[in-house]
Amino acid sequence: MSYSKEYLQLLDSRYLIMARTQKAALKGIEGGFLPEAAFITKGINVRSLFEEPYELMELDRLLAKPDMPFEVTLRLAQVCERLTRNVDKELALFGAESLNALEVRYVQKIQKLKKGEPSTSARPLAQAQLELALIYETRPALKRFYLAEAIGTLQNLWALSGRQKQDLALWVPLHLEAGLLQEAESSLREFLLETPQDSEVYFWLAKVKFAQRDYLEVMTILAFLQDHGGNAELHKAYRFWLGEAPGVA
Amino acid sequence: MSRKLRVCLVIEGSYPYITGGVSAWVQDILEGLSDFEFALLTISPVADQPLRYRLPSNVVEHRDLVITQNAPSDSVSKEKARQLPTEILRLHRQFFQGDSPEMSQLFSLLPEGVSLHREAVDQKVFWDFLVRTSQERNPIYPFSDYYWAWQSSHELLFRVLAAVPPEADIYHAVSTGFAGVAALAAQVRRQKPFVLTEHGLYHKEREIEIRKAAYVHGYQRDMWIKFYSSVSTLCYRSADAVTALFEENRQKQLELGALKDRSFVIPNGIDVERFASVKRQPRPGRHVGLVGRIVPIKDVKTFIAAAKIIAEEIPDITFYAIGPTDEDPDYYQDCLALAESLSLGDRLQFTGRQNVLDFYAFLDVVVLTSVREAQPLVILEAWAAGIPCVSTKVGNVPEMLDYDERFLASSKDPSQVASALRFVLNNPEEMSLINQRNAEKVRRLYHRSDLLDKYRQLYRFVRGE
Repeated sequence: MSYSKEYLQLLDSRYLIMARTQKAALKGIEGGFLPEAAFITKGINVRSLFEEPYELMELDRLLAKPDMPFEVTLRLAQVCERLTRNVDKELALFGAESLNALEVRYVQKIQKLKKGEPSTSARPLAQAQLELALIYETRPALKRFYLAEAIGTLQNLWALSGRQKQDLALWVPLHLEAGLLQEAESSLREFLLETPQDSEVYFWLAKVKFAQRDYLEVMTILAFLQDHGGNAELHKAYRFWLGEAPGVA
Repeated sequence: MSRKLRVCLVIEGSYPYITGGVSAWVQDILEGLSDFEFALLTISPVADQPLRYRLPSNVVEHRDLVITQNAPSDSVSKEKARQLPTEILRLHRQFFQGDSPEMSQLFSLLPEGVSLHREAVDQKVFWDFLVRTSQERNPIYPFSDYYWAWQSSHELLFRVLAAVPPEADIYHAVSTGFAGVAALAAQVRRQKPFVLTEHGLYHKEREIEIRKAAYVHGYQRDMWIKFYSSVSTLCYRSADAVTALFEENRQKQLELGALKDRSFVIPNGIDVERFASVKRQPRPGRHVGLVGRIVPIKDVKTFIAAAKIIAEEIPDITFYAIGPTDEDPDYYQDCLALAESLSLGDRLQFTGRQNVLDFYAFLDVVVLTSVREAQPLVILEAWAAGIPCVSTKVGNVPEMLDYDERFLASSKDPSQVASALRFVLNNPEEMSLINQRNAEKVRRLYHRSDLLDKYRQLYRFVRGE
């Protein structure tokens, strides 16, 4: 990574800091102890986490964040997993230790949630179990275990308080990840027996059918949905799936 | 009759309260060097921890310094009190700039039993220093974070400096860090030799802990890392002798200031005869064991996942996780649930704390899936008992296993662990030859009597005998 002359000159100044993030650089500029070049430098020197040589300082900074979005955690875990196979023992150790730290964080969270009141803790528990399963993407036995745990968590919750549509956002991805497509479809059809016109349930069904490669059925469901229901956001998604408009599915 | 030489072992966070490789090593030294007397100065996070080891009869004294508690403090003379702030500020600057600190002047001003843990804020000169350095080094993050990091590091260090260690002829720290500082203080104040033994590399281990700690952020992370690195540098540079378990770690100690002519490799040693005398009593089926505490650092889940892979291929195989399960109950529960979910049933047994010799009688392979190790005793023990080992590539393990990829796996990779297991289980004839070679290697390079002799020599060396 290269730094501007102005920024490097700063290092000789009486201030001994170097901003590690754009946000920190902005704070520094606002406080009057960093030049604007600090922000520009951080703003334009953006590298992918996956790019070698790995930016250990950036990995390190992310690792220290207990509440980072799951997508970032997952990327971080993927990079650390690559590092575990690095020929440089120090880097391999860094990767393994970091991966361990992420796992331990999840295990502690899961064990804490397991001790909580099911009505309030079951959903975050299933979410944490799903996330850990996804972190274990390359270790199938561990992945399957946490997926099964998460499914069990939701089943227990439903046994206590009845099936909830809001849980489909976990239930369906869990079954898709576990390859339990038939089970996912069956449970969605049971929902549809109770609420036959529910566009959200249909939309989940379309996702399951897509995973089953039943594209004709997907088209049929989406066409039905376009005519029959859902809010503007869902309509945007239908159009995207049908290839009619850019958007997010 | 001449008095036995007395060695004070200074130990942080392990023996006699925690089981593991370092503690086993300490117990071996204590029991094996019966021609010496030992005193223990242990540095603990909490008071009154239960002992996990029986102290041998040549341990004549044990003092436990609880690093999180303030002990009653003596006071210093007015003259010394006047000079101390300048000296402490100089020391702080050196520590937090990552320089190699010089502490002899401080030791001369600060006698044992005097704790200056409150000095960080009680005097205006320190407060001003704190405010100024926060503005310079920590302008983006809250002052309160900086203050507490500063206060904590100051308190921990000065509580150790206030310790009154047992009387001894030699002070032998079993790590750098606070144990190293306590031994160094004894070296300077009492004019006694300071021996430093490291199993892993203390500052590296702390660095990893700090890096993954969510509660230490911003400048404080760098500050703590520099602090521990400075402490290690100080210990390496000052010790009369520094030992590492293997050459790679010795080179790292030299890089940080250990003197070449005072730096030695002394590998781990085991009671070879004890393990070699295990009468092998093979049981029907195949038996694979992981010997170690059930904690995340041993990555027992990778062992379980590898067990699942192999169990699907070899029906009559049983796996054993042999070690205490009470250190991290959450992790143990998770491991149990994982094993149950993988339908391993009684083909995977968590045995709890056991006499490993009983298991070495019938195990076909010993597995290590650890994320971090130095020079694992369990490999030496298994080899002496005639059992092959497969392991993750950590610490000195690749060198121990002759870099033979057939027995090595990347960390956290169950499929590679399973491959190594598969090779060992499916090639009994080749393994028989390798087992003999490994047993011979242990006898030649890792014999406990050699280890003890080397420490006897080292103690004489540092006393100039």
